[in-house]
Amino acid sequence: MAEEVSSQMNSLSISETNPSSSATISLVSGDDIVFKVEPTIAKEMETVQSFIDETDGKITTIPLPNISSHDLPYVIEYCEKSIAGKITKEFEAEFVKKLNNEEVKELFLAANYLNIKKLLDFLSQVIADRIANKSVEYVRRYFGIENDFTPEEEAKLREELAWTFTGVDPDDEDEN
Amino acid sequence: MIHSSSSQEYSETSMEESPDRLTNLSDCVLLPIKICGIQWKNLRKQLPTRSLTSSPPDPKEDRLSNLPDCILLHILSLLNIKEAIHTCIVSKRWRNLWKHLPSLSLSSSDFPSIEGFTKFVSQILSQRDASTSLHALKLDSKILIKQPGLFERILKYAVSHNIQHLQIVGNHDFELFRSCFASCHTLTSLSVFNIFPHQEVIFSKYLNFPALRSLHISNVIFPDGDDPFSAFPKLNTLTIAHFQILGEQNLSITSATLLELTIQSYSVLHKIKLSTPNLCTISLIGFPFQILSGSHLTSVKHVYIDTKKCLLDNFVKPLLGNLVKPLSDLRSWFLELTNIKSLTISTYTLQVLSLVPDLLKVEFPSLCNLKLLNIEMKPAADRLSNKLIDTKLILDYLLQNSPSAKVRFIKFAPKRNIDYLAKIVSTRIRIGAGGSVRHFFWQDEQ
Repeated sequence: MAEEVSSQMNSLSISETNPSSSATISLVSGDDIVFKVEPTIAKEMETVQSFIDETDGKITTIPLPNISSHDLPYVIEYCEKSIAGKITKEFEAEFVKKLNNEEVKELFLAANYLNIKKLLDFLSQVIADRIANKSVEYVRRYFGIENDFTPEEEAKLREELAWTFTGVDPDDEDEN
Repeated sequence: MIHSSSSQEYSETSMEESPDRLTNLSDCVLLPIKICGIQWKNLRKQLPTRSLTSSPPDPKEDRLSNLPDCILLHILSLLNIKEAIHTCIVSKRWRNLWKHLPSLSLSSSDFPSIEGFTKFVSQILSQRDASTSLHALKLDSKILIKQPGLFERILKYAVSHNIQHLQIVGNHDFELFRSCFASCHTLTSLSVFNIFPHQEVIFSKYLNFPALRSLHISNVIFPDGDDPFSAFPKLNTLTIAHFQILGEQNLSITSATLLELTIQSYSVLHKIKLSTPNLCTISLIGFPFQILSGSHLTSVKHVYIDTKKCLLDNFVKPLLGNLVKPLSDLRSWFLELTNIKSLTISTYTLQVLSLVPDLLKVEFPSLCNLKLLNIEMKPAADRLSNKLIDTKLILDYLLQNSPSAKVRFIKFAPKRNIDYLAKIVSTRIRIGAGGSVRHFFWQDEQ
């Protein structure tokens, strides 16, 4: 996994060593790594693009404090494929295979933060697939939700829904 | 949904504070707030949510659960409806979340009995949040025909909750549609897939859908001489599949607004008359040799023809001689289509044409405006590829009067989109000056 990521990073020419390409946009991850991307990539990220537009393109360095240097390459990779019109089922299957539950969640938050609709739709489906047919406890753990029902309240709710509780898969091990 | 005035103030304030100062790089520290502001503003436009009341950027572990309702609802809408309902036990915030789902998919096959399904649907309809629109509904049920009361209740609920997209799989009664949708101004797309091929239902000609733009129906019966779509004032897209026409098999399609028409049929006896002055795209699927007629079809720009593979089966081959007559009719029909710019045919169609005896003796009309002949590569094309050399003759035949036409291979897409051009993935055949095929190759990028 580490090797894959670093090879991606190389291909994206991270670092500040290339000041000549002034047209590129620099995205700064939360841990202060600079990713230089083409303006077309930034266009896919609505949040970034609207910021560029509002400053009339004067600012080309954009800090993304909520996104780590671990997650940002995945986002950029997806945007690149999207621009090239090469988002296929095969690509998406390969893409998601590389991601554990925690990474899916982080990418989902990143896609939401950056407002990348296609990635958000795709990851929504991934999350739905991963919580489908799982117990309520699993869904709580997955989303990091604390159960704020009293045992009595929860028991009553379950009783009301008893007829829908059939065919639930056993929980997977959390991959955290 | 509960509006939160305090959160709106929060994001609007942050929006107003920052713009001028942000042009200075040293103020980049403000950017997170700025970007957050834009983001929340966008989300608020989509759907006001309770989650905006929760404090902004929380510790990492809580962020997913703090997503706004519209995002969580989007995920819930991708789950089976039972599972979506189960999430009400997750926490107090989630307790009523599913009741705001704007789309529902209800399938009776998930239930062992009619009673179970009826009870389930009744509970959903009565527990759903009354003020939340039901934009999309998919009903998959073999039993609705036996439960007209339930079907009617569902349809009326949908209409009263601003239904836009309705898809029905299963048997059904169009009479109910008449009473439910006559004054429905929200329904824009309707698909009715009758899954019982031998239990076709009569498509009532008294139907009226004031706002309908897209209609897809299958396994229906049209009375002879019917003109059933003339009362749909906004219809753009029409697909009729696996249908029967009674009596002399005459059907009229009259529509001033229709842009795209797809006919999927396995009969060679249908006689379909088009009065569609704005029609742009025609697709013929199946045995595309119905007798079509029409006037003022100069608006048509794109034609797609896909014969079914079974026409290539040995037992059908002897019948192909009978196709010369329909092909001649197709030719007279093409005479109307002088303006078509693109013709798309599948490799199966090419194969079928190459097997029709004496085809080349049938005079082909002049498609002098044709710019593009797309060949859609079907999955089994490899197996048939040794015969593709035959199709060179067919290509020459089709393009004999189209000097500026290019030939391209496009990848077969199971759910075909009307935008053929966007699907082009392969390279082209080069057409020489005389229109004959000089080079013949393709590559698959996948």
